[in-house]
Amino acid sequence: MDIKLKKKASPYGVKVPENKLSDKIPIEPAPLPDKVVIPLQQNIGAPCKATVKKGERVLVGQKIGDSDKFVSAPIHATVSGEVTGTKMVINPPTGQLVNALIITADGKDEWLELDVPQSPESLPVKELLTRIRGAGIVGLGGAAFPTQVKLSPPPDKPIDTVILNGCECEPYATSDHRVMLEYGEKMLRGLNIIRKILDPKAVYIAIEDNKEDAISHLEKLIANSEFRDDFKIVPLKSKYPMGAEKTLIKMLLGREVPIGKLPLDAGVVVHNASTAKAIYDAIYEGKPLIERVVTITGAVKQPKNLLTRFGTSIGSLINYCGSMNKGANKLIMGGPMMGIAQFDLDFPVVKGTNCLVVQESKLREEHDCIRCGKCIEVCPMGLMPTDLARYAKAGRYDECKEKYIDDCVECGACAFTCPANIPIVQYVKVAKKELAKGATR
Amino acid sequence: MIIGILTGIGIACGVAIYMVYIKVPQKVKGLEKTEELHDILPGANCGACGYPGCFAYAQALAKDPSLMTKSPCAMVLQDPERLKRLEKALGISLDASAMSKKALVHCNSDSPVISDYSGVMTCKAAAQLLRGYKKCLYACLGLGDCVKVCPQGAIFIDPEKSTAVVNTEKCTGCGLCVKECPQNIIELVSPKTKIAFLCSYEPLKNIPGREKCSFGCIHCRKCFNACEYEAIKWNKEKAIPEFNHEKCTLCGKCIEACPQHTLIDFTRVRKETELISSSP
Repeated sequence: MDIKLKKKASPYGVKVPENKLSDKIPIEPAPLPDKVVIPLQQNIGAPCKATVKKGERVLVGQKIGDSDKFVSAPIHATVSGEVTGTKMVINPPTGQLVNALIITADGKDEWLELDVPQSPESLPVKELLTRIRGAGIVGLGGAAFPTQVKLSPPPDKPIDTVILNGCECEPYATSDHRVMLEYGEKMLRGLNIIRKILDPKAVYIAIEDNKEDAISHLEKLIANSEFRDDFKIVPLKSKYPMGAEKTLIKMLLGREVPIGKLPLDAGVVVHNASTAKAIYDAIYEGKPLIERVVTITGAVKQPKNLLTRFGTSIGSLINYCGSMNKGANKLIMGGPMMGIAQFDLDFPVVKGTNCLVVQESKLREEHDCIRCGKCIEVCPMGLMPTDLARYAKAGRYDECKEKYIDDCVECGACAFTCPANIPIVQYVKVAKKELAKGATR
Repeated sequence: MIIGILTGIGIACGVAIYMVYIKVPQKVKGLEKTEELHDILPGANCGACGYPGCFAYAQALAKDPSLMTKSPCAMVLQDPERLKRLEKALGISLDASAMSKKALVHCNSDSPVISDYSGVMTCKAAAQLLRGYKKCLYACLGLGDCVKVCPQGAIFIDPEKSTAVVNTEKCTGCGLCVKECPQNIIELVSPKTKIAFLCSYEPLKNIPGREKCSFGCIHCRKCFNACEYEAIKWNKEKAIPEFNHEKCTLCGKCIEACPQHTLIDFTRVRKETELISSSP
């Protein structure tokens, strides 16, 4: 299989106002929280069971939750202090009720002794995978899929390409952009670990062309390192949703992921830029995943990129960035296109939180579909969103399935472009959930 | 000559059609019973029995009469005349009063709305996003998914509390609303129910129920202690009372004792719903 590079702009997708307010602002560590609330399920897959008891003292990086299922990732304490209780909280991205541990910080920030390997480069693949799982690494692009599962493909599915996704096509979000600029070298070493595990024929770093400084910075880094023959940077035209896994594969390699299958089936693995940096931390420094860069942006006094411990309440981060502007009435976790609006400032930052957007939004009234077909033009998966929404509205979920609703990546391009303000993605999500329940009327 | 041949063909055709008419029966054999049952069934095609329409249900009943006890047609159970005919046709006897059910919404919420929800105005869509927009995570959202699905028009939304209320006079207990409710707060109860418990709030240990809603159960056990007839059992797991309606005499002591007004006389629910439904 030879790999062809296509540098065309995507014929699908939509131009969205980028609003990258914080792309010139360096990453700074957020203040240590007094109390963290850590949900015991932060990834796709099985929830974890608590491994510590109430009243126990924990150190930073100590494992506090684990599961014996394959698709799972352990969870670590993000501050040192005492476990003061458990409570049921809403898992912010999904809305499920999950158990959470509350840790009251003692302010000392004492770390567990880190297990740093002597020569990380020469560790065997199996050891690397166990270390990645042990560090609780999940995909940091937003979906939070456990990374070690992605890195251990079944033997009958050869992987010939690895793509590092630095597109960050969501408006407002700049966390990956800053990670590429400031932790570029760590990220490349993390990518090298991924390459070692999967042994692909080619490794690409995909970056949208609105991040010119990141492209030139990484090009310089690669030229001066031992990876100069292996890694290749591919600038892509910025068009939403370029960073969606399936779109990216289609644009870059001209391959399509089969219906209902994973990128694995097309011989490709896509990892996020921040994930590669987290892999570096886990392998070279022995650090588990306890913090990530979160962009706080939108209608706040000073947009910032904050290195945040998980479990910090989103309200305290917003206060740190100066309060919200007057008239701000909406807080979205994730980017404005795919994120979910939150109603409580006490919700914690979790592994999948890449961005918090404060908006001054107006209520948009839903009108009837005028059959303009704009959503069909922009759908990156080539679906007919108008039909899906109409069937879902009427409760005809099996017809949604016939129209390939499972292929929808919920990018939100259709709802963004809809002149009748139809919340198409929400209809699709309802239909998907009802289909999963097996309910047909 | 030609006229003779044509006449011959005509006569032959006539005879053939006559023979076919005589020999082939007018009705498909084996469907007599199904059709008899189909005449008895209400013909509403509501789908509550789990079959696509009354004819499919009649077909299934003809094969297996015991289906009427497993997934009964709720509308027949409400109608004594139809029930008698069905019993005769199936050759079994049914105890309608034990089998019929009424839907009860376990929520009397005045839980405050904490976020401006805008989007798809159905309970399912709202519940999917962080479990709705009310302070109580178990509250009736009042967007009316159950109202739309009810074949009898027995459910309506109380405009003051935006909570669904079932008119038990009209309700046949088909259970479609139970399947529809994303918050899982509708239950089918026996029509003999005397006390209705109107809260679905599960104990979240460090948030007392009264913070969420002024009618929420606070798990205080006062109703359990007030009962003199041992009609209330305390469910320790869920920390809610369970009622034995045989022993209950409807003395009203538990209703008086409840500090949150979570308990309501079930017969009064019915009367209240009549009041609301009769007013425009």
